[in-house]
Amino acid sequence: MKRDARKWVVCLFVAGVFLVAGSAYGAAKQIVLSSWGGTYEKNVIKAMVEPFEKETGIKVVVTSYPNFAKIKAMVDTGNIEWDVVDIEDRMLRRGLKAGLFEPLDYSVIDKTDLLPGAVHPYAVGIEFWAGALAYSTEKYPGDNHPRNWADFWNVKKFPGARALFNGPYDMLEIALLADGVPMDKLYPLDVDRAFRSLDRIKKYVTVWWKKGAQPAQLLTDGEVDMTYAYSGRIANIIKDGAPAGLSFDQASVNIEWLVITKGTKKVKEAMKFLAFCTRPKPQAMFNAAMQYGPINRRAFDYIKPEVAALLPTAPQYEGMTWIPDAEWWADRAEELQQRWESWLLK
Amino acid sequence: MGTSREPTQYGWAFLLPSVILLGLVFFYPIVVFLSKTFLDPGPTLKNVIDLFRTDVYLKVLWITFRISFTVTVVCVLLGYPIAYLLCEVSEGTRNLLMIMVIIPFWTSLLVRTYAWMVLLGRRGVFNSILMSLGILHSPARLLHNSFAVNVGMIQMMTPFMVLAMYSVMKGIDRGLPRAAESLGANKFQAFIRVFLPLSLPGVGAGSLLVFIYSLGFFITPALLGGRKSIMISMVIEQQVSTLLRWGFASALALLLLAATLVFFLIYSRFFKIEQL
Repeated sequence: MKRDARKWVVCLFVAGVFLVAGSAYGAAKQIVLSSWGGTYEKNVIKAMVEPFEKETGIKVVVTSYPNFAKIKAMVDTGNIEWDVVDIEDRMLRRGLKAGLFEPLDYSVIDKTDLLPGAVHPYAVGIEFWAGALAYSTEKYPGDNHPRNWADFWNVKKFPGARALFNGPYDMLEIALLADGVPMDKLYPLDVDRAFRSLDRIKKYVTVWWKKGAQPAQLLTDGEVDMTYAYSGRIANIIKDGAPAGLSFDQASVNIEWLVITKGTKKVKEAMKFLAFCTRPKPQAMFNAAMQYGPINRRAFDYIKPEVAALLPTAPQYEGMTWIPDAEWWADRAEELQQRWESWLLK
Repeated sequence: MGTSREPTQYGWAFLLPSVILLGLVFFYPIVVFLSKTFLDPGPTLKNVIDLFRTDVYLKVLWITFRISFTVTVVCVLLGYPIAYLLCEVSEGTRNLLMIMVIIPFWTSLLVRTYAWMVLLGRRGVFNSILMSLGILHSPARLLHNSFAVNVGMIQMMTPFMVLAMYSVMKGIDRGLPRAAESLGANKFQAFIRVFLPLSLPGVGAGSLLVFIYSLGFFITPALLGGRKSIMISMVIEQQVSTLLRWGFASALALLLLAATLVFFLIYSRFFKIEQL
């Protein structure tokens, strides 16, 4: 009996500690940001989160992998775990239809120097990333390497194992580019022609990757010799000495967005965070580290010219890249995904 | 014997906590999710119709069943001798062998999948060895195809098979095959006509476990597979997280569940389930 009583006291004490700790935790100003993990997340923390915390005293907890289903579940149930989420353009369009985001307050976020493409009533850009051609410099040393999608499709001139993204996005476009469609005539996509073009390369594609980190791994492991890849991931392994090269010729330039989850109680703090992230200095620091394109013009004031030359939005790549039409995709995503899956199984 | 009692009237009450827990965290969410097939968005049959509008999802279901079947058959062939050996050897050897079965069983599926990537890759261990021996001149494509998926999944599932079969085999009275031998059967006959039939419930249980478990595999085929080894769970994930079509994902899940139940019913006609 005595022992039982003691047990109860211990239990109550422990519960009490958790309660007190819990409420203290809740009292401190804090927002949760869902980001993409890895180097990306590390640089978001260094360039944006830490300086923001220092300036405002608002704590930012960073958690990995934005997941659309999860955001939808949060909004549907009113149980908001992530206050700010880092999402792709495609996801933004779909999320807008589902009404998952808070409208932004541009009296808090200063948009004077932001590139027009990066300003949206419900989202603000964090960076421009490129879907580019990456290749192994071991397999293709010197200057004789594939540069654009026609080269990627040219298996005679450039033999080797290839990898592509497992999904129709960008793949239909690059198939058309490889087939000779000019960049400014891509949309509306000639879907049948794109699949016919893909038919020709299918045999030579050994890996159809799913996650952005895979192509970098595939090149490093020597599993493939060339691949469609997200530029920043490849730029990072090049920095670490991996035998890889990157070509921006005919690369897609996509915008990555920050949004505020609808229904969060931390709208004010979240808005302040968005305002901070879009300022020139954090933009310069983050994008120079990741080799992505900044969304604030004045960011280039803080980036060395030799680094700026590696960013997909740098002036010298003007006219070499194209921008995916997210609006065109928004209504066709399901249908084309289904067609993609049947095509892949054939 | 003296202390045995009749079962009390309220004995079932002991089951109540587990039943409530299972209902709350298992049946309730499953019912809610599967009901989306007909309720998302709004009352509809569209999700079910979409399933059969192309043959792609039935094809994926077929691939899923084919891979699971191959995995199960190979697991039986590999697992049976191991389970048999476990019953025959001395206690010390058995412990050692048991550890070799159980350590992979305890190791994370993800870790083992990555290990296979290291082994089977173009510059992987197998290719390096084969090439340095001069057997191959250019690396063989071992990864990113159905072969890799099968190899990976077989390795994941063999311990399940071994443990299921072992638990039945160790309950078989060793006197029975010995009796057969004393009556003139040779060792082989005693095995085939006495031990094997008695061990079949173990094979049945193991196969059922491995087959149904394999149907839901996701990570291994996603990482080791190629374009023709898509399993249904990968398509479900795609629908849930990228396309946000929960209703359709639920329809796919329902299709998998229904197919599994049909399989289970057919299976139970051949193996008496109560024996398992």
